[in-house]
Amino acid sequence: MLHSAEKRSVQHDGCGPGIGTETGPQVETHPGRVPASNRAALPALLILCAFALAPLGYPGYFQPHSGFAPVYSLYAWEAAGRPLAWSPPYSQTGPLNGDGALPYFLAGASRYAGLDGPAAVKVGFGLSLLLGATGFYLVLRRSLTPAVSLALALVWAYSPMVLGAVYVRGALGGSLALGLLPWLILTMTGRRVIGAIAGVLIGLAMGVSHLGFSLVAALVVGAMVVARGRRPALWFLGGLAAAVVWTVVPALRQGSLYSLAPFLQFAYPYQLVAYHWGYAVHSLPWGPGVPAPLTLGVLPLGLVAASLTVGPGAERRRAWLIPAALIIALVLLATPPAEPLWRLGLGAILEGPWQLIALATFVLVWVMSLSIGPRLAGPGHRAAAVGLLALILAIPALDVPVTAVAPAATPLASFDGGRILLVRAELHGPLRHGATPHLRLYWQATQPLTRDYTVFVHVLDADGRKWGQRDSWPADGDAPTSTWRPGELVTDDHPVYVDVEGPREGYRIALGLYDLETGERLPLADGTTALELRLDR
Amino acid sequence: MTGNTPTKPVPGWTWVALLLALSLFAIGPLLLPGYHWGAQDARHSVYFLFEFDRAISDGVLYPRWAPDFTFGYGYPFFNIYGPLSSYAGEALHLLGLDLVTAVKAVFALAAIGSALAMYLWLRLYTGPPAATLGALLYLYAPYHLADLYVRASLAEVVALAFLPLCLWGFGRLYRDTLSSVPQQTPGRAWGSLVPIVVAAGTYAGLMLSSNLLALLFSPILGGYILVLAWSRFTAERPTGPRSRIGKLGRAVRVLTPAALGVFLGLGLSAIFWVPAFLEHQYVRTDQWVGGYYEYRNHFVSLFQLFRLDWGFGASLAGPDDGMSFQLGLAPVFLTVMGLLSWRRLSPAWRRGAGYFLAITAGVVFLMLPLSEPVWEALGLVSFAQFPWRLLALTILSLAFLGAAAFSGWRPSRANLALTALWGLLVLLPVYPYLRSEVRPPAEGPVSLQGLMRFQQSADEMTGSTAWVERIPRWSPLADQIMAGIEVTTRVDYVDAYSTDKLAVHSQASGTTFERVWFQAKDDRQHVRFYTFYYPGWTAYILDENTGEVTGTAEIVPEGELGRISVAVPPGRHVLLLTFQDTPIRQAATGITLLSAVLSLVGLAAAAAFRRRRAR
Repeated sequence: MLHSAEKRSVQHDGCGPGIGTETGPQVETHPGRVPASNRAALPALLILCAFALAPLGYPGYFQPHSGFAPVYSLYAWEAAGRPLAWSPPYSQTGPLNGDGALPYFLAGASRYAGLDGPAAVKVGFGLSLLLGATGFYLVLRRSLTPAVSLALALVWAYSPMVLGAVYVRGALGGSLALGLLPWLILTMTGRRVIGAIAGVLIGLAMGVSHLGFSLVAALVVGAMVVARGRRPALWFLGGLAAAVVWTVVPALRQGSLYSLAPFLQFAYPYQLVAYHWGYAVHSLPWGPGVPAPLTLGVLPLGLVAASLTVGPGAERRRAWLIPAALIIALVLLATPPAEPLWRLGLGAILEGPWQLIALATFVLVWVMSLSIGPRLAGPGHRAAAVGLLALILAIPALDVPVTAVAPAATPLASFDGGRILLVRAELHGPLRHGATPHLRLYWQATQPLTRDYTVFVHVLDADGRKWGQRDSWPADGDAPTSTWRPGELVTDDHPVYVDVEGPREGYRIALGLYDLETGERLPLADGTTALELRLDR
Repeated sequence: MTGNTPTKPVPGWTWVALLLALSLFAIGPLLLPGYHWGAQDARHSVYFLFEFDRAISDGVLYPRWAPDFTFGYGYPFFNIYGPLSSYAGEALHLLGLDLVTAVKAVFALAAIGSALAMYLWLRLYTGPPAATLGALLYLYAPYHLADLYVRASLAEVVALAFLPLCLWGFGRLYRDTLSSVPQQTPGRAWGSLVPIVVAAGTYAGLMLSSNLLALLFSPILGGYILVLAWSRFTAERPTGPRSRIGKLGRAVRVLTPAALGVFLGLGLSAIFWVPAFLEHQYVRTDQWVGGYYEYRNHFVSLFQLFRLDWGFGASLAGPDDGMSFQLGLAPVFLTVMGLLSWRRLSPAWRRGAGYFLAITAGVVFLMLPLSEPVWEALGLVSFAQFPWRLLALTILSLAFLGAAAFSGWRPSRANLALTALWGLLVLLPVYPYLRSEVRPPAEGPVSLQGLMRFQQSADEMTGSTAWVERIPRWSPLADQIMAGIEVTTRVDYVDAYSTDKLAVHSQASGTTFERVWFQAKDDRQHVRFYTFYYPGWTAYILDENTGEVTGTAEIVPEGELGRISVAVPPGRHVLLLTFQDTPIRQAATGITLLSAVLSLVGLAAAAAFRRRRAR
């Protein structure tokens, strides 16, 4: 015998009486869809970004291509008295095609909260990811429901190039500019007064994050807005102009506006659609290691395919024309045939082809979202399924190599014009005659190395006489320098026997790298060829 | 395809079949030949059953003493360790499975059982689609899989099936006993006994599975009962005058069935938990709280809860743990989606969701290092040992919250397909985790020799009683076993024949007794055994010829190993050393038997009532 309320519930869901089948306020308007209010969806998005941010929560640092360079640059900025007009000294590119000052300002601000350098830099990276996700959500909310906007914002936030900018490239300025990209759309299509102020601020922020990328992105986004039949508000140009003045004038005074990136990873066609995740800086499928991602992403491409099956009308075809042309152009410029263009000028404004692929992905996700978004509002939690798929597909990208080694304010030594950094050295065991102390070295390459260098470690007495020596490839040959990928932290142990005939104590250690074939040593920044370690023990 | 087009509902068994089909992936690694010996507690699970089986084979129906643990000195392992998983394994072993296969079968059955239990519980709240997906969320929660394949903790895996079953038992209690059926229905009280007994049975099952999880879960169950009771209390608001006495009476009436269920559950499981609680003081626990077991080294960093990694290593101090402590991608994602559906949920769902959201937040807090003062203040370490073990509670609450995302789905054919697809989405993030470290046993085949080797390589297998001052690293019995000589006596013959005043001869021995003929020249002689002393060991003096008991002998725990030493009277006698129930154990057994009888009487009365009503 059932109560009338229970009877109603049986009719409602057809699943019999239960303690949860009391009839509540029925606000369901679209059965099967997750009705999310705008207020709830945004916090939900931020919570769901936790998986993307989790690797940044590791107490140490991660190992992107940029290595510890952003951390060293942050320390250098602080050591220089926190100047406003500044470009990061450890960046391998110039003020125009590399990191701007803003991410360092933000990281520096978080240092006041007691964070160390690596943690502060990671705050900058985390902010980039959150800005990108929230900005894209706000862009989509103008035309889509909260649930769909949430799901598609996750598609962008967890897209390979966004995660890759942080965890593979370690591009502090580049990732922040990428995070601000959706905000640029908001300012171009925003309301007048607020749009003007926001436009200038966003333009400035993007420009001071990564000037070259911001200029290219402004062109692409502007074209997109025009393609959608709207006249873009150009307030951001004021901000960008200010950023140009802010960045370029001091750089010209110093005489270096840009510096071509030491390595350019071009996209092979297979990579654009490949679902793999690696850190190698080449693009050869048969090369050593899995190449770093240069893909448009499985999910965006899949959703594009899905939206095409929906059957585009003539109007939609027109709406796709300019974006498709833009995507094709951007992708082509990221492929090996475009290398001469990079040497001619493209390399002066961008760090590498990955930035163009990232931009192409953004265009793709944006257009795809507007095209298929309304269809995702249907039953079966389609939008949520897309959002969950975005996260699932990102799992390999979130398995980030980390290290507990904390960098000092500067590297211990810089070899061969900064191509190889000695990050840290530790001596384990007594440095006295008859002993075999272990010297642990932490190396980091800043660019791919083509030769295998040999590490030498000499134990010298006060007169410079050698009482112990060890020459070997790093990690006893397990990690030859030609296999080092940029940013990877290589741990290299050297047990060195100190001759028992030598003096009891008072030794020092000299070390360096040389080419076994030529016998030529790699020079240090000061022109010498051996680093004398100052160790307390 | 429209998910909510009103169509003919799909029969209930279809959903269960779908759930079972999608659950099979979880036990896939158990279907491999071999056993995941590489998992943390994989060896433990097998050798626990090995010892349990030795005791059962010896005629001990409720084993408390593991005779071969700690290199043959013995340990009251089953007095402090939930026996249900061992009974399940033993039952399968007696049916013909070997010990390893029996353990694997219990793992598999518990895993599938946990999904079904979760389904049952959620069905109290919602339709089959949401219940199916909630059950899959529970089964495929990373910690659940870690318990299966990384930790291989048999007792905890079995207990994980009882957590939702308990909630179902008490949820059903409130649905069935306190529904709006008119109170004056004749014999209604008798009919209410079935859900009470069922709830009690589920709680007893949990208590008998894992005392640790039972202790952690009981407050949560208590809170859940209060939430249910409050719902009922407010739903039954009388229309007439509201006097305080009336409210009190209503509160008592609302709470009584659950209280009865809890007490009956405690009664049914008293045989285990009463001695475990009261005699816990007679085993050494210091070795489980220091060193590696220092709980401060096993807090979870916040980022680890969201880091989508996996590993078969151990929990370590610092953030570089070898195993994963993630909450799970699908559970968190769907929990967020479920909370976004908040306004669509029924009031009961909302109350439940609110409660389990609070539980999730509280439990997550307790896993983080900043909760250390709370651990200190509440003495939680004696329950949980490792803070990350609380993940067992979050997987439950997240599955409940995640299921809410699908609360509006009707059991239509269209939604059956959608549920299957969503089930795959739930499975997909953890699919790479469905593997186990199958390898040959490092200790060789399961045997006494294997047990000795295992104990030598794993120091956590050297549990000792409170009288042991020095934890042994080996023993003469272990030497004997390794030499392939059967252990027929635990009498220390070397000691007995060290003087010419005592002669001994072991006549018979088993896992919990030994019968020794002796001749002592004076009253200062002791017969010593290679067995740890523990309350319950009793020595009787028997007549040499008739075998009649003539008296008892004093047992003294002796030396730094706390070995049993029996002061024997002069003359020729027979000494019977046997492990018996202490008064506490006897009382506990009595409580359990009484509770079982009461339960059976209640069920019989309910059946009679039903028959009468049917007539």
